[in-house]
Amino acid sequence: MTSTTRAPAARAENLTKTYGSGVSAVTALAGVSIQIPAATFTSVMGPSGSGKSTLMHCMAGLDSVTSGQAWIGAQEISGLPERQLTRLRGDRVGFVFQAFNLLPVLSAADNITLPLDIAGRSPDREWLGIVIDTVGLRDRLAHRPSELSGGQQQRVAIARALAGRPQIVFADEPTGNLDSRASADVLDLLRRCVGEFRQTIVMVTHDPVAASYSDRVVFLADGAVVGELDRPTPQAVLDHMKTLGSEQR
Amino acid sequence: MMRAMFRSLMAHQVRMVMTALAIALGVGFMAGSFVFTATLTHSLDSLITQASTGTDVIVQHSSPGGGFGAGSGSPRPIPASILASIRGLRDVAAADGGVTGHAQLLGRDGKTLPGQFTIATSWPADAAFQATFTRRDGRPPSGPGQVMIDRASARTGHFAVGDPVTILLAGRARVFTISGITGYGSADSFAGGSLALFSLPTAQRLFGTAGSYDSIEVQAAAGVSAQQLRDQVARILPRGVTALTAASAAANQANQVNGQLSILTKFFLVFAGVALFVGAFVIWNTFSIMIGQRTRELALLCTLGAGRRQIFRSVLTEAALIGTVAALAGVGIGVALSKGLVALLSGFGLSLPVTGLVVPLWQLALAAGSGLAVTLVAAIAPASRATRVAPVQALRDAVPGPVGFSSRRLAAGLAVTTAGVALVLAGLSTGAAVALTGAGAVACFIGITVLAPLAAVPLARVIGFPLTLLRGGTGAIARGNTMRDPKRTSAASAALMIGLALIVAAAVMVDSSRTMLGRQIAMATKTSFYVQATSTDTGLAPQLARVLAAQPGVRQVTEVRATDATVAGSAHKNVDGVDPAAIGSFTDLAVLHGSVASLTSGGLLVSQAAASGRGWRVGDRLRIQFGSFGISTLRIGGVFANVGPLSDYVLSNATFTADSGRRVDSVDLVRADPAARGTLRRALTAYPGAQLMDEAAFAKSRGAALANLLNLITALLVLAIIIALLGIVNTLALSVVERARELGLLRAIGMRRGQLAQMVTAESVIIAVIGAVLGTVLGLALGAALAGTFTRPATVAIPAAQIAIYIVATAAAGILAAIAPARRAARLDLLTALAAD
Repeated sequence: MTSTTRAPAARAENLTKTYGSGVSAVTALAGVSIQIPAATFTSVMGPSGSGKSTLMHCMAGLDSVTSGQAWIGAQEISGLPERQLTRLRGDRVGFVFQAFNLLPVLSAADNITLPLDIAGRSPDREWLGIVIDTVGLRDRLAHRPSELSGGQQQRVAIARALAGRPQIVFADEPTGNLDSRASADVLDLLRRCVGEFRQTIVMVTHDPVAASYSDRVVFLADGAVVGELDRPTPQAVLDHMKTLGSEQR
Repeated sequence: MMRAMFRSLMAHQVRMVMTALAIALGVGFMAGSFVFTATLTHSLDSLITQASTGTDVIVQHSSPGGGFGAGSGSPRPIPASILASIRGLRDVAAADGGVTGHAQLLGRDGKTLPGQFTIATSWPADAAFQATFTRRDGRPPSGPGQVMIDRASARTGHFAVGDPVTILLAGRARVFTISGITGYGSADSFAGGSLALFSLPTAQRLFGTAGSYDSIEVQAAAGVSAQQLRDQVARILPRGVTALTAASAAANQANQVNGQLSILTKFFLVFAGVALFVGAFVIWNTFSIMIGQRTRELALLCTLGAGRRQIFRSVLTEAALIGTVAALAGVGIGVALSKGLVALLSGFGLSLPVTGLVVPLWQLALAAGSGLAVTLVAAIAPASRATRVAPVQALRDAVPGPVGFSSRRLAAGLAVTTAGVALVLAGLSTGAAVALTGAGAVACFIGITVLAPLAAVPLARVIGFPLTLLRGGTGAIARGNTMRDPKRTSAASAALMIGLALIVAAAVMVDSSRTMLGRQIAMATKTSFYVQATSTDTGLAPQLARVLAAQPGVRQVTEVRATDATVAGSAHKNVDGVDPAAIGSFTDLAVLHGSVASLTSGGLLVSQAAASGRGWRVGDRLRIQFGSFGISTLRIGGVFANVGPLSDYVLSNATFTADSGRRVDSVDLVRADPAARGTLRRALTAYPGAQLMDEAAFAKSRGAALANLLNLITALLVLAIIIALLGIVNTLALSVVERARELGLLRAIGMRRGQLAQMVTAESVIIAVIGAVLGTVLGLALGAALAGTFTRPATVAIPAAQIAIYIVATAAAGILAAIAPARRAARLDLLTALAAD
């Protein structure tokens, strides 16, 4: 891994994002500053429309910012041209989506190595073996996504995110489409990735139970950071959200 | 319900335009052919009428119809005494005799001026018959050195009155002075051909008809009808000479012209049909994909209470709307295209006179109706599939599952294909019944299309393999995408398959025929050189043979004459005239029955290939019609095996000239030392209309017409290929929309826009090459069957290099088809795509 434990894996400084212009302009992010320490598991929570997905998109280089700055490691990504952003995503960022987003025409194994294939990098066989064993899919590698359960598909997606040893993995509601049992498996897996591989993970979620697997929860409302919680429990998260709700009202 | 359909139609305008275009092109071709032939018929009819301005009655040799175009014999001479008798008749105001022949004008660069016909005629001395020659500059020709030419030729050749012009007469170059330039009726030329007018004595001398006429024009005195005059004239004519009113002569000629044009119309309609057939595949596939994508929407309509009938009707209404738009656009395209057809034909050496534009309304309606009907028929299957959508599917993801092996599909496909093959073979064996063969070919195409989804996956696997080696995994994903819905892939490639199959079949056919010609010539000939006329019309002067024979190093020369004739009812057969005593020294005819000597007593030799096809034997009599000149009934005096440089029907030169009226040679065969080439070439400098060739060049020139035909067919079939490509564009565009989320993911995990475009392109290439491979296989089979039937002895030659070029071109076309969908894929907004449903 390229990052050291001291430097943050990702950082945002006074990030704003507005859609549209003039009177119809909608502010999604209103000056968010946040640090993601390396080898930590951070959850971003907030009611719908709070800007949590936009924050993730901007920090991961999927979307442009209106003002402010964002870094992945020491690399500033705000204002980076499209082509370099694409390359940065391929090399240094991993993604896990709610809808799994696997390519139906590729086998599980090919889906896992897809980012490496796209970048033209040859996979580190040893690391790949560790990742596959960790997600527990060795006997499912030849299967197509349509032949796998939802939980299994999401584990393939996690393996895909880890395959290139990215500096940071962004997970957008990774358990949103899963039942509670499969959710627990996936969250366990993410937790272990942080613990065993010192992988930095940022997860957007609205589920207090999911958030409780992380080291820290950042609360967002109306495009601004409104609170933080370290070593959260589901109850603590829930309580915090209630106070947010009452403050809003 | 209808509003929902209309909304969705409007929401995908670009796709609708592409879909409509697939049909519009076919309709356009059909409408264009109709407009083109109607215009041409009208132009020629008006020319024919103008040709007889001032003439009430025409006296000519008695034979059916007037010839038109290259190769027909000249009229038989009428003695000059008849003209004198006609002039003596009471009701005759004026009468004049004329002769006609062929004269090829050369441009200032010594090359022949373009033009399909090379008409030469005598200048009518009587002012009564000069009305056809309008807008004249200069003076009419008088004396042996003067000529009047048509306005169009003067314009192309940059000639003015007083200029010298070189004219090829029977292959020999002579220089004349242009005494005048004339229009022809309302046109600048006669039917797009060149016209040379000589004074009567000059024309008679040039065409060897001194003291006689080819025809006599008569004008009635005031108050006498053409019919009355005709009857009066007819009474004094000897046997073999007949009088016709100008109107009925014109009608005869127009009939014959229209007969020939209807062949041209049919030729074009075949290709228009192919285009519509291919268009039907595009419609079918586009609708199938759209129904597939709209499953959820349709299911929702079902849950809301829409009946099956309503859904079926809504899909068909959508098709009807597209079909109507396409049909109307097609008619518009057709009118524009008809002008293009004229240009296309002249590009392939067939220039035609077109004045104005005639729009045949009911035929255009027919073209539009066909387009609409084809669209509706093609949409029936997808529409009925739409009715089978279950309401629960509203709640499920509409992911097309892979098609498993279906023995029902295999059985149905094999049955249809087998029936098709049987029809083709039956059509070919029963003397080439075109309708039967065509229906068989259509059945074959449908059968293969039914089978194609079964072969699509393995084909894509193999064809896509080289692409999987592309960096970045784009090829592997593309290959996977073509394999995920084999029905879609095979349907998209099916249209291309049909176009390519026909092109390959035509190429095999033509290559086989050329090989056969080459073999025939190589097998039999003992000839060292061939001196061939560059223009079949003008031919070679008989004295050229004597000039050639007198050259040092030349051992022997023989004249071969040739003309186009209708033999026992089949039109456009070549009939040759030879010197029976000499021909054996130049080519080994290998006579099987009868003898070459039978030619001397007016007999006919028939090749074994022609004889066995029709069951002719020595002693049978054949009716041969030599253009306008006359009909002869000739006895078969022998059957020969080796056609060599000749054709299937051979006469003695004496019989040939007497019966066909052609007094010029088409080829002189020369036996000489190879070293005599230089001497021969020098001897030919006075004959620019003659070409010196060795065996290979001669064989090639014999096949040149076939090569031209192949080019024309290929050009016409390219339209089908373009329509097929539109189908691929549609399929890819729909797939890009359908897979937006996948494309978004690929962008998120580091795929560049260029790589996405590459991926779509790779998919397109795989689809195109599948079509190319299937089409080539089918085309080879079809071409081999056709070639085996139509060549004698059966010859099948496969132009491998050409076919390889076709396949590469198809792959390149696949890249072309991918441009728009690939750009679309590359431009997808990442976040929108990721969020796509």
